Amino acid sequence: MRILFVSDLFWPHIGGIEVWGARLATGMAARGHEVRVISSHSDPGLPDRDVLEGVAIERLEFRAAVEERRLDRFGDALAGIKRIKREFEPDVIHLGTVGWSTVFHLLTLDAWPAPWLLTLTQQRLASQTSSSDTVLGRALKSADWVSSVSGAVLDEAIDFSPGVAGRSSVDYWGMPAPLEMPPPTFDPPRLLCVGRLVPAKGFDLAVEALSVVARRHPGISLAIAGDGPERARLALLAKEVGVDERVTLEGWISPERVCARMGEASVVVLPSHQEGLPVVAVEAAWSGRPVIAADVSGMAEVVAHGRTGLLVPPDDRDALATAIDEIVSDRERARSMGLEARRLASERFSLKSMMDAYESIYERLARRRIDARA
Amino acid sequence: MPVLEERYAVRGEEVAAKVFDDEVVVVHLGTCTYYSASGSGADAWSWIATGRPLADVAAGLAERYRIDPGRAREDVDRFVARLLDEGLIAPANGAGAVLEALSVPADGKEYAPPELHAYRDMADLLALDPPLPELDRPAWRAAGDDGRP
Repeated sequence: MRILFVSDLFWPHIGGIEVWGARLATGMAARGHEVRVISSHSDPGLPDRDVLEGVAIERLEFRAAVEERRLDRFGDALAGIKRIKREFEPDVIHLGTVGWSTVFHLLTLDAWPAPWLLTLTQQRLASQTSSSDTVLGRALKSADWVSSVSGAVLDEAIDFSPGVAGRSSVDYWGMPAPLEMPPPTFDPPRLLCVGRLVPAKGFDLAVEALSVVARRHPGISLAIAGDGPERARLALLAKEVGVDERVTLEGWISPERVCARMGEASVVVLPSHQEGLPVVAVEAAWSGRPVIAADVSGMAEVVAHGRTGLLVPPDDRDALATAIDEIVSDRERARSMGLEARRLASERFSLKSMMDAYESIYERLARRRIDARA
Repeated sequence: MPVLEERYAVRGEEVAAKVFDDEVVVVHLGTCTYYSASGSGADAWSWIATGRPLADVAAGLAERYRIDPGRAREDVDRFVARLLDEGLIAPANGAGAVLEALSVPADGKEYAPPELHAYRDMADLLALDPPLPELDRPAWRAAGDDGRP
């Protein structure tokens, strides 16, 4: 089968969507499918063409065209995506997310008549208020299949565009099983946040909650792995609330290091204001670590409240602090939560089950095209 | 509704547009809203943008797509009203340049009324996913499970 995967960003960029896309594309190539990727040429240092484990990648100027409002680049990117579709003649086209590349796909639907699949990875934006004049609205209307990374995101999509109900599925992100970690230790308790340092992740709440629980747990610390525009503000906040000596801003760690890093932590904390299906929560589950998380969107599909971690109301510093105190104070319960989390991960978030699910969707869509031609 | 004899001009200080093959892409720089139109919409945009009176535009569509001239006039009216609503064009001052009559032989394309598609969430989509740092090598493999059946 020829699979064309379209994504705003792709390897070597990192982030939940990018790592998932690379796993999926290279995994499909390993299963014997011919896979080509169209991604954005947002970094001028990256070559136009690249290969990753048998997957040919072409980078076009999607982002620059849109961000800089350069219509000449817009035309080049349109011509590029048309050319690739016609040359490659895919059996199925898979859009890895709704973004600026989606517009270029929608504008070139006629270039090659392949069925196409859209994966929804995050919640609807506040600005997406109409089903007819937003990128998401048009994409949901015309996609042949909609796959969502969580039930919560899919429910929202169906509310927004009811026609999606009959042509959609929930397909959880899967990842390779990391080696089993020793159970978490708490001498001293080490909290860990992982992700981009952007307001949506709510890491400021974790810093504030730490200042509350530090009174009861003198040795407690918080490490934040990731980078982004909020870094300076988080450092300042830690100082303001008197925990700067307990907070470490570690910077980026590569995806293959994440689970090992989690293995050094006692608890993983996700105070996000908004998430589709947080990859970090999946990684924490695979790492056998209890998770304390804000109960947003698909979080409850990864964190079973009371069994694999604790869910707290979003944007609630005191509830977050209480949950941290609860876990850190009952270490046996925390360890059994970690074990249960790993069991849940192997059941729901394995790479093989994700690959099987997508392969089955591709085959079904490709079959439709063959049947239609017959 | 616009009067057919009127001419319009693209609001150049805020609007940029380009025609690619059978598609026109328009950007309102003030709102960062993207628009597209294809087929008859791209034709109509091109003719309106070059200052042709709406009567010419309607006649051009009628000729190219072999449709009833009355229907073409109604469709052009609706399309222009939408362009005005979106702030993409404005009434042109003066009589305008004298242009040769449109000659657009029918090319067998199926007719659909000109339609403007808007993408109002582009700016948010850009802000949502800023560029991230990069890896220097693929690094997401772990021992054991590689996802193969």
